[in-house]
Amino acid sequence: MNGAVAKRYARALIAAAGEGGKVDEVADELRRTAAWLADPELAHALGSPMLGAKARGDLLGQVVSSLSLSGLVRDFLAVLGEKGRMGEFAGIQRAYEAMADEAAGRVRATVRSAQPIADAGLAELAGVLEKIAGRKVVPTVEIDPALIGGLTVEMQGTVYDGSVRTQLERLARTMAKDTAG
Amino acid sequence: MTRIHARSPFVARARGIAATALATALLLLPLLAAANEEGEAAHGAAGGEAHHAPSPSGLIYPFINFALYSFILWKYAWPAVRDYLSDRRANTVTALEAAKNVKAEAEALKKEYDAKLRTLEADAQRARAEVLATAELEAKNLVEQAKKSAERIRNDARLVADEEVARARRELREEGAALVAKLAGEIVSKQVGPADQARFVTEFVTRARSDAGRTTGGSR
Repeated sequence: MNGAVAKRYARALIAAAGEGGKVDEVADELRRTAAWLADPELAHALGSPMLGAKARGDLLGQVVSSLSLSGLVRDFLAVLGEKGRMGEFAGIQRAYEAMADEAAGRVRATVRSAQPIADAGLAELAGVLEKIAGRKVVPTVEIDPALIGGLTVEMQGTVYDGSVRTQLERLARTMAKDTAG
Repeated sequence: MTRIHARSPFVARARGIAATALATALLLLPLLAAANEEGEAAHGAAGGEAHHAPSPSGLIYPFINFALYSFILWKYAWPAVRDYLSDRRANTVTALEAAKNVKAEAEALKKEYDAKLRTLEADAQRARAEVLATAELEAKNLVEQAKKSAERIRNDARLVADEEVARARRELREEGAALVAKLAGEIVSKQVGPADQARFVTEFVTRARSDAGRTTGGSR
């Protein structure tokens, strides 16, 4: 995916959304659209040059109508369809979200946990992450049983690992090393 | 050996001598015949008479003949004979000198070959000894190299074996440790409950809080 192109489209969209004070709303719509377009067959059909512009427009119209999107996002998707850039929608959405977070002074953190985290625990975790990042943190929780226990946090390119799986791996490496002598 | 050529001065001189002698004989032959006839006539006329003394003219002519003959021989034949003998002597001396030189060279060669023959056996023995010494040295070197190669191969094999054993031990340790970790994970995953997870979160938050001041990035 062409990151420069995605950023150019995202910059144009956030500028338009910022004029109407709907940056976060547009971000939410983009997130829902991205989840819908995550279907590989649909994404392939919308990004394929084999499909005519009218056919792509009709298909996109069906998607838009089912998601009840704002006029701005609908028009934006229509432009992407006309330009044959639907294949880059995911990158555009990520770039828009990063720009929106930057503009709002917040960061996103992906929290992977072996089991669901209680709200109190998540709030406490968000608090300490905000202390680390120095700005507001928006945590996204994902359940990953492979971690066995504990959690990992990925924020601003840094991974904070407190999982039982990693501790057991360290223990295994230590055992292998200690018995070497 | 000296060879006399058919056109050499010696042959020419010999031919001159022969020609002079023939001419002289032809000149003297009528005189001798006349003297002989005269003698016989005188002898026949005095057949029945007693022998008497010869006349002076009968002595003078033979003497003159003899003198002429001797002069011709001395004037023409003797120089040729003398030169012939002188040349023959010189040639003989030259041939003898050449033969002497050839003999000396032959004797020198003989001495040289005798000397070589005398040292030949010694040289052969020395060469044989050198060959044997070289062969022994090479054999010794080959044995030494073979010993070193064998030692090196033995050491390499020992190192390889040690490395294999160490690798097998390391793999065994790693597999054992991985198995222990896997079993521990299975046991822990069955026993970890919401309370444990909450405790994990609390511990994570506590540790993150303590590390908050020194977070610089990278996996932690």
